[in-house]
Amino acid sequence: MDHSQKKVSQQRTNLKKILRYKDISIVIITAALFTIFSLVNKAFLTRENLFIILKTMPELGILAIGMTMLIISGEFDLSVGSTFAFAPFIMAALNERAGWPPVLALVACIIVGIFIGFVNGVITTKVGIPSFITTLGTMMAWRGAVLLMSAGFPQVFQRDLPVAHFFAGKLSNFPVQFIWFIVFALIMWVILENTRFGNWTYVTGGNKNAAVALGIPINMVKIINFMVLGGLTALAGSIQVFRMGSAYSNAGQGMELQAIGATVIGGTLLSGGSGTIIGTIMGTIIIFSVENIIVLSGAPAFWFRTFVGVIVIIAVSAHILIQGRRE
Amino acid sequence: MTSATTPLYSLKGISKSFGQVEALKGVDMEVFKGEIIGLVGDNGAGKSTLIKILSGIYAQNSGTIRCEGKPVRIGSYRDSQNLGIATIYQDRALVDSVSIYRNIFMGNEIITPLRFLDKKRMRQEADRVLNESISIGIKSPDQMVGDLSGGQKQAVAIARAIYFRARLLLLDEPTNALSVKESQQVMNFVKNLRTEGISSIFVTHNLLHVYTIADRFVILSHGEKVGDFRKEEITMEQLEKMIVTGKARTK
Repeated sequence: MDHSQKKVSQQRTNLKKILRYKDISIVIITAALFTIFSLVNKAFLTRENLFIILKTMPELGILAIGMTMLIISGEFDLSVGSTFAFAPFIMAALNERAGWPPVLALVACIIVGIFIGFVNGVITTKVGIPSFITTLGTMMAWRGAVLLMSAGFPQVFQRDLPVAHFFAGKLSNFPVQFIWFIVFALIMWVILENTRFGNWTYVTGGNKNAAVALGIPINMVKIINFMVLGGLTALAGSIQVFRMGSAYSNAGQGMELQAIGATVIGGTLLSGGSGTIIGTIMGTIIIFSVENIIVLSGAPAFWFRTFVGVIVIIAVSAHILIQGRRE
Repeated sequence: MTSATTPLYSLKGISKSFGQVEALKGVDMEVFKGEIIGLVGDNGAGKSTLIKILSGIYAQNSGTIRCEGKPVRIGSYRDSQNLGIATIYQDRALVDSVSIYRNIFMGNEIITPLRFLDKKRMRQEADRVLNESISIGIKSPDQMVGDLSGGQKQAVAIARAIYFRARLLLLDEPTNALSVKESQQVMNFVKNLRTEGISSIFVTHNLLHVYTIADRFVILSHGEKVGDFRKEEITMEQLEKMIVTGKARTK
């Protein structure tokens, strides 16, 4: 009897270990959703449909992994939706109106994104305003700027340019942007898990006082994370322009909340200090497959937001329950 | 002066004010090798300010700090660390959501030639220092700090200090919020460290704890030093009276 009790407690610690490996639960949830969706609707797991998911998902996904880093460092950014429209619009305008070479225009777009992140970071850390307020302000400012530049009209961008194929073409019938998504996710994962900067990102968000006491330059860590997110957002926006062949002044509306949603669904704590890239990838997959299944089922697409809202709440509740079980 | 009589650290005339408030008014203090000093005094006596000057968080307005007789400037946490001073904070300067080994090396990470974290070595070293110096039932350096008990967390913070060859530990209310048993364990580490020649400054409200462990007491009151006694020279009752009245004992 004593022996079997030991075994039970051994099994319990094993279970605890698995639960502690946070990403496992979100991977299981994602797989379960995928299975349910493919049973509910036969069109879900078809090649054509998966292609659409893989092609459109990286735009949010690339942005969301940048958001994850920033949230882990203890800040967040509401202005990404506007950056997503503003920076690529500049690219398209520089190329079409000013005749800049497309690659140079893309570089300029990324620099604009990084600069926007820098501004957010500096205002937040040096002036000391909460990032919620800073980025609420810049969200409106950059959206206003892009509306002004566009005067409400889309800006054409040639889809056939090599740079468009490089970032958003097909590689033997596979959407290239998904490869870029994986590449950036890997890079960010390595940075977060295997570099000093990643370590500092966790401590900055997890215990600010400890970080300062340990001599970690927390303002620099935050500013860099704002800049990385800005750059990734500009790239994600460009990928959408490459896919659509036009830059729209209303692109990316509501995307900031979807990106935060994907991050939170993936188990990252909004309070900072904890989170993973894999979780965010799963969160992005969940959001996109939900959107997809709604469209496939012929339900009004407006349901999408409602569902994402419900899923965010369920995911965070599940996270808290698992956390509670650990203690 | 021979090295035996040169204090490891000496503070002379340390003053610090915040606006109108004078937190410290010309405090002198010496720390010798392998000595545990109980820094005591009522709330607002200036204990924490003194600790924060030594750990590089505040800079003194006037006064000098010497390390082995040489004047030094402690302008940052890093300066303090380079002089062999390690601070164990009230909030323990640990990150709950991160593993033990990452916490121990936080800010002092071991990196490979390619500038990636050398996780394997950090794990091994963390395991070694946790087992050698302080055994407190920590199973693996991969455990999250948030899953540890208060005493274990304190142990991790102290392990970090030992690993980085601290010569002086600054313990600010280390037994606060710890159970009786855990407090006992923390005090045992500090005592063991003394035998290895590591000095400690122990700040606490708990006179019972500090009287058991300290070799010498420095009593602050309203920013001034009102007493400096070896344990043989003072009883616990006298010490308590001095803290309450803020007056030097009349011999």
